Amino acid sequence: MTRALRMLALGAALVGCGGASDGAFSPMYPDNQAASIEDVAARLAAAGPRDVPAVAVGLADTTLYAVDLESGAERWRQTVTDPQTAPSIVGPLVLLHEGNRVVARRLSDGQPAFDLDDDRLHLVGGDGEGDVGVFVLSTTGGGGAGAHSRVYLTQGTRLATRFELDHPVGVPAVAAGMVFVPWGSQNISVIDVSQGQEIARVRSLAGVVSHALVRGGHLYFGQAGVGRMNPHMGGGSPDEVGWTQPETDELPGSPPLWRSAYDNPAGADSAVHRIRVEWTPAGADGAVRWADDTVYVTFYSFVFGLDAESMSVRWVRQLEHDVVGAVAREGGLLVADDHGGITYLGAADGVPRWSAETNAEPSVVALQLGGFTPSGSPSEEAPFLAEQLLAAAQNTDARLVPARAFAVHALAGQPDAAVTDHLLVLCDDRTLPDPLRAEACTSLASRELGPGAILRGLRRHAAYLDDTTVPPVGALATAAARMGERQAVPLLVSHLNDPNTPAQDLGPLAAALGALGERSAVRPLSDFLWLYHADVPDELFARGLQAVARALVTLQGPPARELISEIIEAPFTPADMVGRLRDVLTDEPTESEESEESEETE
Amino acid sequence: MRRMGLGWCLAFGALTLGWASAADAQSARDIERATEQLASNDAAQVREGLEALGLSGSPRAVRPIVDRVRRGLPPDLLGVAVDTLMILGRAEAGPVLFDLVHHRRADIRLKAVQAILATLPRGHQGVLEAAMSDQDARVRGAAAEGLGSTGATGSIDALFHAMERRIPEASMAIAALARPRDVERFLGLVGQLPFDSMTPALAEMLHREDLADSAKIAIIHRLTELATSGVREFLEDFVRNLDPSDQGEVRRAAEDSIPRIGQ
Repeated sequence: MTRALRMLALGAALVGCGGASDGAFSPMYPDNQAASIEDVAARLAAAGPRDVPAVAVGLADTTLYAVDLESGAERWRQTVTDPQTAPSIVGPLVLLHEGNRVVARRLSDGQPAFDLDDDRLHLVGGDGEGDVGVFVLSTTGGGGAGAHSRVYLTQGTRLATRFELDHPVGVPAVAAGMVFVPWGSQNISVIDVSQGQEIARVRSLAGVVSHALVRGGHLYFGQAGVGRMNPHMGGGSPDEVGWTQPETDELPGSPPLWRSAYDNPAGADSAVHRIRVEWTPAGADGAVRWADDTVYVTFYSFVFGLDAESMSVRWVRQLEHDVVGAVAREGGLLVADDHGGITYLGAADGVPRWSAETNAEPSVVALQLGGFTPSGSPSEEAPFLAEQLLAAAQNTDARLVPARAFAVHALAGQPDAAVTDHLLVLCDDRTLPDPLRAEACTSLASRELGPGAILRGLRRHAAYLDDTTVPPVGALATAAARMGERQAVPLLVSHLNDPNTPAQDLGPLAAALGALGERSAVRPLSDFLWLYHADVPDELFARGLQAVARALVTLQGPPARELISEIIEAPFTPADMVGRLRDVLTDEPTESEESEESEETE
Repeated sequence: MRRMGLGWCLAFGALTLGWASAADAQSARDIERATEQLASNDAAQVREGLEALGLSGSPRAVRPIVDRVRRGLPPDLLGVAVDTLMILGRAEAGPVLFDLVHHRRADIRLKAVQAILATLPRGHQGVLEAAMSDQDARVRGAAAEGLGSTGATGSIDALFHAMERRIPEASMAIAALARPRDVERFLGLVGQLPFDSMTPALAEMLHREDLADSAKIAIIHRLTELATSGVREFLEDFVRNLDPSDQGEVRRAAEDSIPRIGQ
């Protein structure tokens, strides 16, 4: 019997392998006990910096390799078989789920340490510090009935203890001789490694808990949000655990703060590794904060630095290759790309400070910084944010459309008149994918700054000889109306009479003319309505004509209603158009009509 | 006798005037009736009214058609209305035709350009120049061709621009309008634009009687510099189609050039 197996047997005997009914992971274990949590917190606080090496472990097809980050030297490279998931760095080990086995290799030289039959369980994740490691195999499955999990403790490069429990278990953490195991969506069992016993139970009701993380002498946990263990967490309510949950739904690809560890792990080649949120927690008490007040989002080759409070973009960096691994630390973000590059980006501006090259093209890289701080001078001066966002939006990689749309959305939020020009450029670019252009046009239409750009845009017409195309009239018209820009009226009228104005733009154009309130638009609008009322080729144009009728009523009131009645009775008005015009007549009186009526009454 | 002659003359004049005024009255009644038809709910009636107004040939037929156009018609009837204005050939139709050059239907814009060329209202040249920027090639072509056919020498710059933008009709229009200095400019484009697209215009210029021989010889010299088989074929065709009695300098220049261009 090997020493590892003897230890496993010992561990099983100690904790009741297969049952977890006495002690560790028992549902009866008292949670959130101030005294025990204080002890744990004190041990964490006293532990000092994490004792882990700075390494990158990458998986490139069937090659697993490790690179020492401080020296940039490759430690080793091994051929693996049928990799199922991303590698996990577990103390002095690297774990990889290969076929139906979980294989542990020594981080030092890549040589096999041990391997296990997966028993149809998934490798959920692991952590390690010094010689101690922990990893989890689980059925996953979101906490439903039938869940089964195994928690393995390792000592050095050997298996030491195994716990089994009939609950889903998440990604654990190790620090100060303790293991923190999230399970059952709410709980974190704190296991003292030397005793093999649970010494504290943390229970949070703030949100699902599927990850544990130790940083800066504190235990953090959560999934969609993050809480912090503290001796006063009482019932584990959001306030009591300092729960912070940034809104990530609107981020490109909607990556969660932490991917649910109760779901099946992402495959080795999954796009999940290229779309992620990265952050590192900060603060000693109160609500959890984020180091540098920054949350990072990687989306293929884009990296966004977001203000953690508002989730607004501070900077965006376009890398040459896709990011397949990232880890945040105070001061910046270390990213590994799929062409072997490793780059450290400054938190404040996203400008590279440090970089290294490895000879690999990985699909996923696990990064561990330990006490290593990549340092260096910024490689360049960051352009203005609006320029960064415009460049991001204009990237031609079709995979990046959600990130480009996010950049457009962020651009629209910039309180700078010049941004209106940028949005016009994007809205005007017919080569952009539809969703991206739609986002740009929506943003342009909602601008309230930069009337100069709006007027310049409206002055352009499609002209074959000048090789110009029709501008985005609808968005420009709406923006002009929002800005109350009356100089736009003659320009809008010229677009009304331009055959190149798309039918779908007639509605916003007419609405803008109505909203701007210039009576000089009455004649062109009524001429247009007369000229085309009997020639309505499609639904879009019919809606445009209806908008023209509404604008007339807005501008003119009763005389416009008379004109519309006359058109309804005209010989060749199509039935559908009659209906639409009648709808206009039954609309509520416009403000101008109401004021005219009240003046008459007075 | 002299008195009698005068009396006859007076009587004949009175009769003629009477006949004319009767005809005028009939025409006015026809126009009135046709105008009433334009207000019909029946498309056939409207079409009949438009045709009757066109047949009247009267300047007074223009106004009712213009009014009816501005009150909106289905596209087929609008087309008939514009055709009728073209037939009437009256410049009074100018304003509505200018508006219709911007109609959303390209067919109507084309008809409007054609009607403008038939009626030549004041300001037509500028409108035709602008119509060369239309997104529809037929409209652009008709406008360019029209500028040539109406002798719009003031539009030569616009036509050169149109030619550079590959509106083929523009080169023909330039060929019709070009003065010697314009020929020089035209030749500057030889080699930049496909030769095939320029040959009709070059042929037109070489055959124009009102263009100085020196300009024609300049054309031949420029083409000789190109020295392509296409040029050789072109010059051979040119010489072949000349009147045998024409033994002028231009023929001699062409004949001298051909042997200098390789097969």
